Amino acid sequence: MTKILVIPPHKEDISELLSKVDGILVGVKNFSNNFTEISKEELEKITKEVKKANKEIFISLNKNMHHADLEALTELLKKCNQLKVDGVFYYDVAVLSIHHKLSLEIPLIWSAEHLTTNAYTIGYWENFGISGTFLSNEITMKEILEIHQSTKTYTFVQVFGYLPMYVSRRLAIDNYLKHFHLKRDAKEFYLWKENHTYPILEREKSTEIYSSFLLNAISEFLEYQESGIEYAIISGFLVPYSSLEEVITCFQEVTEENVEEKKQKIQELFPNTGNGFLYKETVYQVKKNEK
Amino acid sequence: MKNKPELLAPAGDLERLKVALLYGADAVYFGGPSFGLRANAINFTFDEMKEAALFAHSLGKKVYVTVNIILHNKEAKELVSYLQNIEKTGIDAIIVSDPYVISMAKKYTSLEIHLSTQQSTINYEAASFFQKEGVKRIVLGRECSKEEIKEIITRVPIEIETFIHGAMCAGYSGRCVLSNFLTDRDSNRGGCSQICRWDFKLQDQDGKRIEGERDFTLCSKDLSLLKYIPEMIDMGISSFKIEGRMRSVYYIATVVSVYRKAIDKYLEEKENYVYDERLETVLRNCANRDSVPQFFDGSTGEECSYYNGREEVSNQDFLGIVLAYDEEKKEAVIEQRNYFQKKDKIEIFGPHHEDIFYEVGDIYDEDGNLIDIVRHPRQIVRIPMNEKLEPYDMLRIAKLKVDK
Repeated sequence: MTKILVIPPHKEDISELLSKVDGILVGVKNFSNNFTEISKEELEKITKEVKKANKEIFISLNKNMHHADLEALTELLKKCNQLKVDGVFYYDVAVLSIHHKLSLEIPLIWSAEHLTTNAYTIGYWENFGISGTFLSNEITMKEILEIHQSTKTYTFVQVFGYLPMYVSRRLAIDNYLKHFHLKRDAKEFYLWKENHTYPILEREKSTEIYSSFLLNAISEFLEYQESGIEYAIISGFLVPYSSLEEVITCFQEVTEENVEEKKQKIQELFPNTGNGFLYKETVYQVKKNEK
Repeated sequence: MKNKPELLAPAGDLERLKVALLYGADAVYFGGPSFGLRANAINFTFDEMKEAALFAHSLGKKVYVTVNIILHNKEAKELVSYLQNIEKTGIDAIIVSDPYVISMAKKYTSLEIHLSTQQSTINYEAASFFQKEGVKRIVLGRECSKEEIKEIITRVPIEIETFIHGAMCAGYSGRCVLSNFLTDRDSNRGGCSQICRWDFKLQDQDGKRIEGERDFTLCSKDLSLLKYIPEMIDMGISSFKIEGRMRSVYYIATVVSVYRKAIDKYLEEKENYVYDERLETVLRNCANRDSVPQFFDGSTGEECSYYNGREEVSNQDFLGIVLAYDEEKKEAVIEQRNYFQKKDKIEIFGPHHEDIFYEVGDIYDEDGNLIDIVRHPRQIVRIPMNEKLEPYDMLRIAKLKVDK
């Protein structure tokens, strides 16, 4: 059975979401990119609440870790270990390194965003004890299924929501506003180019940009279930809670018979949905030397 | 010499490789026919790699090959034979990003392994992991401050390579797939289309435009650490890397020679070292983009961003390259790269002599006719010169001084 994990739109939504999904995936403030965040102090309370509901909780510590982060990261990993969270998603190898050094037992999920693209590299990390991989959104459906079949550990795949495209150490909005002496009045920011609108947001020390569309892989979800992919992730990040609830219901109720109806329902909620790269290979070709 | 860092230059082809090495690079890096991150650069065939390695080794220098794409299943299957073919060319090391390449290189070859900046290694825990994995050198993420670099050097016994000059990724390397989404080109497999240099409209939640004098962009200024060379040498950084496999032969020659001079000057007389502002001017004149120290000095603010609306005209300073010198007639044979004419004030620079400042006198075409203007691309001309020049010496517009 494919379990459904949800990234809540806000931490306040977690309690209500617990009755609707198999688990929660959240980030921790100052240690995550592209996730809804909770604070370090809230980690214990939320984990206990999730466990009490017999659901799973995964914590994403997926930012690039600078030297100044390492001490607090170590403490955070110890805390996750002590709380027996169901897994930690990570990007930076420092997480794996500290995990080994402290002989922690929490399962690690390799979550290097756009780099989790083949079974061979997953095999490499499996030798270092990872328990699963959150696959890249930039690979095809065929590749996802092939990778799942050739790896020994859990596969996590995003099936709904905005897709992360960019993380920078710079504060791109802040720099622009300062440079042109503009006031920061907006609550949300978007980039517009050729009729596409891309959400852009800043955290304390980073800028993130997202796709102009929301991935709607409800048809593919059926195939993921059939092939035994362990976890499907519905991202509610930047999505209104009321609509997210309906999306979750669609995913829970989808069958071969009603898939078109459910897909249509999601499209009505979000006119800007798409398949991403599930059926579209990106170009990769080194120019032949013509000499 | 203790603490003498390697100066590492990019090369898009054999000509640029030779120029980089002749102008003072200690090593050069380039891509092969596959698995490299510059799909649009002219990459090297295996035969050319062999020639490059022979040329470099004849000068006591090294060559490295990038194998730094993020693999997909189908490419991974071809990896081992590719690595074995590279090894046969005699190159000195490979620069890899995907850790699976490390394991395959270790298992099936004896190639030295350098970890690419694409891994964004920015802390000692990650550096230590890869050191234990048998990586000989790590190219640190460009987001590292000097304190972070020092910390890694202090804690991990491994060679550290850092960028000192060239274009910057606006995002963390590996964490930008704007090209994938906006142009269907895979940025982590050699297809980066530099979306960070595009202009966008910035809007609020109601679609209202937030408008500065210019459009929003993610574009970053270039990196230049010329001023910090002494400090970086003293920090114990093993290799100073120049970015730009797509850059021109003139750019490579200029940037390499400037950093060569700065490094040598400091190592020759540390106590009396004085920063040479003239070198900075040469760099500024050669590049067509502003440059700043970026993250090295902790900068992340607006001073690092570029809001110039893509006004990047190609550099017209490069006038020609010396093909030969006729000692009997005391004439330099020159191939034109940009328009120049009689009485122009020029500067001739090369790897083996001080810069020569010169006002163009007589010019002869290939048939020996006296001409006033060299207007045709790649036109071959002869110019009387008392100073003995060498192949690969270059002519540029003199912006600093003319003393003859």
